Amino acid sequence: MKKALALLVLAAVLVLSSAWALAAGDTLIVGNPTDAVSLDPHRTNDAASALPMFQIYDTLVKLSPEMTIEPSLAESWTQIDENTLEFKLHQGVKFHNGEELKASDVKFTFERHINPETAAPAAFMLSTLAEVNVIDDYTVQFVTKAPCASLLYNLTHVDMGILNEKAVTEAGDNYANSPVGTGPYKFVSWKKNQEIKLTRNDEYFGEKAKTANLTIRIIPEGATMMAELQTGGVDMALNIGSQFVPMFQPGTGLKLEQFNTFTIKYLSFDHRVAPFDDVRVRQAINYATNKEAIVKVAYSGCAEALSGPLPKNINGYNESLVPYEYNVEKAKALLAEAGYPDGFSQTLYISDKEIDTKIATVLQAQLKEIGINVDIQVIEWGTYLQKTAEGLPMFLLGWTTVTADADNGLYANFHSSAWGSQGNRTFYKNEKVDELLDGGRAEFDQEARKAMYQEACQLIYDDAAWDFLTAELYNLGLRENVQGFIPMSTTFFDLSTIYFD
Amino acid sequence: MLKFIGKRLLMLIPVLIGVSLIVFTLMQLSPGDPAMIILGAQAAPEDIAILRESMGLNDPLIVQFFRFLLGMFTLDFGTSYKDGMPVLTKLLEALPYTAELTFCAVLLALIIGIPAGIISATRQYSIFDRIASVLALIGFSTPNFWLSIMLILVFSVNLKWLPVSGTGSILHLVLPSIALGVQSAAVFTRMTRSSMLEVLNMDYIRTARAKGLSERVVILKHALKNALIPVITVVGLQIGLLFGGAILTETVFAWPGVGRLMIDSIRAKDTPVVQGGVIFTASIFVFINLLVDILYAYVDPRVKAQYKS
Repeated sequence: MKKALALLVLAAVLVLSSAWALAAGDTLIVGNPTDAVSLDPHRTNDAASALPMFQIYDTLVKLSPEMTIEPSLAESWTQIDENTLEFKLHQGVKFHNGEELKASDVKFTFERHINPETAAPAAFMLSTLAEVNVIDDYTVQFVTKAPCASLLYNLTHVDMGILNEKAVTEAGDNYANSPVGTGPYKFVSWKKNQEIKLTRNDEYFGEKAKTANLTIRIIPEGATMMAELQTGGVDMALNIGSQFVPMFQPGTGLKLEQFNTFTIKYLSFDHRVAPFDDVRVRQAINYATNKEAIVKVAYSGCAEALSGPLPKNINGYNESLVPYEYNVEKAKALLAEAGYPDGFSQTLYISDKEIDTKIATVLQAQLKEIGINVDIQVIEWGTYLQKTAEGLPMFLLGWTTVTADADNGLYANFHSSAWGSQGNRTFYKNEKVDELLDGGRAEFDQEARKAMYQEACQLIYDDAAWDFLTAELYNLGLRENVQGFIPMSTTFFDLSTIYFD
Repeated sequence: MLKFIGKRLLMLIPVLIGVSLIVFTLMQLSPGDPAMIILGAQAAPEDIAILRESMGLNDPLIVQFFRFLLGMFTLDFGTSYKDGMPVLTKLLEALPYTAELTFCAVLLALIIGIPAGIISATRQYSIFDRIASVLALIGFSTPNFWLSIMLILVFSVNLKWLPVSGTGSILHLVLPSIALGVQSAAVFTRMTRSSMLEVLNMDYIRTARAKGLSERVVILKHALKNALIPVITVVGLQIGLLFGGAILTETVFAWPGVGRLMIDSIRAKDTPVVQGGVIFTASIFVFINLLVDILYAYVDPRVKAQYKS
């Protein structure tokens, strides 16, 4: 009897402890400074919403860590003609509500996305899309208004996730609070400004998530986030401020992942007005800029010097370009050649973002070295976007190439048809660049296309269209037992690969 | 009394109209186009124009104001630009958290502040009085943000007694309540002390003592009741202020209250939420002041007599 009792107790202890062990490694808690705006991909274009949505939804095609296109919901695709792209869908993929993925869902998703009434913040990526046609249940064709070789890249964006028509129609206005996708995690609950809970989708068509539950906690204050990471309140902390990077030391139980992003910063000029209409003046400013100093002072080391209009890893990035060297003498000589031996005075406009002030102060000191007296003026962000679209002589701006493809990073910023609010706020015009950028859109041979963008990068670099400043680095904190994280320059992270050691 | 309450409630209407006019004007004066903010820097100008029209941003300001005012009286503050949710829903989601935190912080402040004030006053210039005064001064001048971070470092990171941030259990409430309550506790201590000192020097206290009443009865029954009137005013004001959302405390402790909602909305230029939030907190402020006035009547018979006339 006693023996039986002892056995029973032992069994109970074993079961309980294994249950406990399972529970301990069963929920991945991720801290994010900002709450999602919405879980409806047609209402968002921000990193905070992307995080949960990237787990809930799948796109037709996805990006590998090396930024190549891979199949996802679409198992294959064919370019039928220059305006038609056909996808074959995976068969038997189930949405979280049990519905099967059909071509009609794909059509519904994209028609809803480009409908002006939806006012989707990410719809600009589909500006060339004319219509989506269902061929059969598992075949769908995308028809564009003009050849669009970047469409595949655009379709990898998290906001291009495929929705279930029935779920969206049934939920109506409440859809953002009851999202339904095909992804590795299913939606459980969302307490605004607190946490989003997801659970593993056991029916997932791809590789199933390694951790059973996923909780995204919203922790706005950086110091609090670090304390949570130290105490195990979160297993993973996104977007760590550069001031906390020194806290990641061996023996602290924490580890840091630092990787480059597609967010760049540049000093821009209005090419229509003197003295910035002169390429020598723009080159002089590039040579007078000590980018390493900006990285050190303004970014506390969490950035890299930018070598041209695109950050590295973008499809179309030109590896042969090196950042303009810091050379005051050369800068002075160029400025004198352009007719400004004593320099000139210029207002530098910046937005009210903290980083702008930091960069502007460094630039002010550096440009003084070559006789350019800069006076800084701060403008509120919304107004800033308007003013820069109308034209400001010299200003600071950033860009994130959200699709990982050169078309997004170059066309809007440098094509002369995109002057003003469409993105080309420098009013830059180079016919050869226009030709190359148009060519890139219509060239479906990936290698030829890449060469075109690399040439365009070289021309823009030689023209010193901007003062190319920095590409931001991303800091992500992990507890030591968290394994399997894959850094992505897009800052869209697939959390289904993560497990506990 | 009922007439008085009714009158005060009616006065709420002009106050709220005034508040809404100020908020509306300020939001209009602050730069930035909401349509552009929603669609982002990469959006096409035509799309921005379409959105502006559908949001009613092209109507004359006076039309926009009256639409807003009309909505307000039917408790319809519009929907958030950011996520399309009704403003009232967002506010009602955040309110319980702020109420919970405010209640705990004020309770803590009262438990510390009133007794400390009474003891300080009755033993003026004693060691206790001096220490309490210094502590009150420190408590009053400690930056809330710094205190919050220190509390986390000591009690969560080093001692591991309490969770760092978030909600969910009574333990989660401890640190934010202390962080938020310390300043109020300091205010209550100083207020109670000075008010008590004033009352203790009055003739009727001397009379009470001359009657041979025990010191305990003199202080707790005769002096305290009169001394509490200014304290009640201050408590009311503090509750009103805290209800407006303790932005820093809520941010540091990741507390999903009204303060967080407001600061996020201001940053995103989510005008309907900001307008609704300000009116909401203004109403709470006015309402708590009304409660304070009613409370006066119970503490002070002279006030009650005034209402009757």
